[in-house]
Amino acid sequence: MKNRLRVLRAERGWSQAELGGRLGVSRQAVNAIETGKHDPSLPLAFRLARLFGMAIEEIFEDGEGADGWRV
Amino acid sequence: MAKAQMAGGSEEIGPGELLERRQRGRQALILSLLMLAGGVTGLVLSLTEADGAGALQGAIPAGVAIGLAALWLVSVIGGSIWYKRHIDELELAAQLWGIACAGAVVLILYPAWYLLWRGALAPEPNGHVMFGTLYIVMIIAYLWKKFR
Repeated sequence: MKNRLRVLRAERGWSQAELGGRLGVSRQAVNAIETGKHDPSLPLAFRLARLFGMAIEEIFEDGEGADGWRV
Repeated sequence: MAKAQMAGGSEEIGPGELLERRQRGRQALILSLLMLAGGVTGLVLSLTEADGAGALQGAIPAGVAIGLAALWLVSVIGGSIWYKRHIDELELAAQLWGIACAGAVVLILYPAWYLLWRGALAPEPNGHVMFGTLYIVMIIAYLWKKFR
């Protein structure tokens, strides 16, 4: 999942470890989210949104839309 | 942003980095204690195992067996619960992926091995081999998920 986390973090001058500590996750977790290798859980996405004072959709892009059941 | 001074150095770190470091320290402590338990188990086994039977084959005194089994159960169950409280969702996802892959491999491998044994085409399924395979697959799958 694409996101603006790296940009938002850089705007605040935070390292990945700094952001991780503020979110209660590891530096590796922040890196994995930034590079799209890990999609955060909903509670973590909400923590991120609160931390940056934004809506979740303003941080994460859902791409081309999730595949659902075929009708 | 509030900054904390590192002990003995001029580098300043933010409050988030400080929390992240403390959390990593707790994880390292738990893992170290678990490794220590494993080391003690191996050392006691090597000291008490009967000579000439081969590694992991010889008899050990019943009291030692009970003590080591208790140490294993307490350290693995207690350590897992303790460790779970100090890991994040990325680490948990990697661990669950490793366990799932290991379980799937055993579920797939064992029946095939069993059937080949019944057909006199392979030796009888061996618990040590299955356990070792499970562990190796679990570690590889965990590392792949964590560091890919």
